[in-house]
Amino acid sequence: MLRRGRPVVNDFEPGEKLYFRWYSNWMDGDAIRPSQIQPPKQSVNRRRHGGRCWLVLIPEPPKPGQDPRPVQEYLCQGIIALRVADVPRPAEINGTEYRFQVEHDPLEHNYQHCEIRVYEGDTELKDRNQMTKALKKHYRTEMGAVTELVIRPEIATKDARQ
Amino acid sequence: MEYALPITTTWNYGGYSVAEDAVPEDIRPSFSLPPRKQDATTVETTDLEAAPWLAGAVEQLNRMRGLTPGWETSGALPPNETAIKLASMVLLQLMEAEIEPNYIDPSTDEGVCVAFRHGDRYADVECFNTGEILAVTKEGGRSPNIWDVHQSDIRQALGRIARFIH
Repeated sequence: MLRRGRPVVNDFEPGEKLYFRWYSNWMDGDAIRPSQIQPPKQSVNRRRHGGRCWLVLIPEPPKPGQDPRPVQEYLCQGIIALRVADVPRPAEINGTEYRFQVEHDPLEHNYQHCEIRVYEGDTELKDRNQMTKALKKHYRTEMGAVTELVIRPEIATKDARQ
Repeated sequence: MEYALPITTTWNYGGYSVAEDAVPEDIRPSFSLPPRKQDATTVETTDLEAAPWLAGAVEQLNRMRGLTPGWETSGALPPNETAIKLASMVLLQLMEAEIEPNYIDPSTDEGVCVAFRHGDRYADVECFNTGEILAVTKEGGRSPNIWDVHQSDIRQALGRIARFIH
């Protein structure tokens, strides 16, 4: 869990699992709704180096100036998984080539933290405003087809609970 | 029954819009709707009778008006009136074509997504805050097929999706 000085390891086996958490009103039966998938850079946790799927449910430290979110906001969410091999393949969209890549991005409180990033050539598109709508839609649609439900969510987003 | 906008409580009587209380209850006939203009955005009470799923979808759209920035975790803005209006047009075209979507959602790319799924086939029409519309179809492990949809081509796009899904 805690990084404790451990290094970045950008070595992923195709079968390694990646995990992220999910709300109940973002489900469509046992599948997830592509409309709710974050565009790259999407945060995921890796299975390797002692990672367990439930680590994504541990509350994150609040950002500066933010109040911590209630614990149940995290613990009652569900868990979604995909394999490294299922990260969307390279795509040509409107004449431009893109590739998606999972990269180890350890945080002090979360050594298993990774991000799925998108590249145009050798340039990483770090901001969603640099990505075309078609590119983001391609990513969300692909991800919606390759993910699997690990633990069903028990909590909806705040707006859906009102 | 009262609804928030964009529904109006009028009766479509022989092609003319008549206020509901102007037509005595005992003589309100059943009738067919005149052809709807492609750019129609107003849902009428009779539409809801023709397509019961439409009430839930319209309620979803109205609820999206109440979303605030931070409605999801990455900071995306909620759908604005442009996206909601375009999504209303999509819903009305679906009603006319007698196609029911699986769900309608705000999307993380700042718009409204109307989605369809059947087995391993998925499709959606996404109306963005910018006024753009994109549609997608995807089957099994194949790459998604994404295309731009002009406002005047919504009916055509939905027809393509209907043939793909079923």
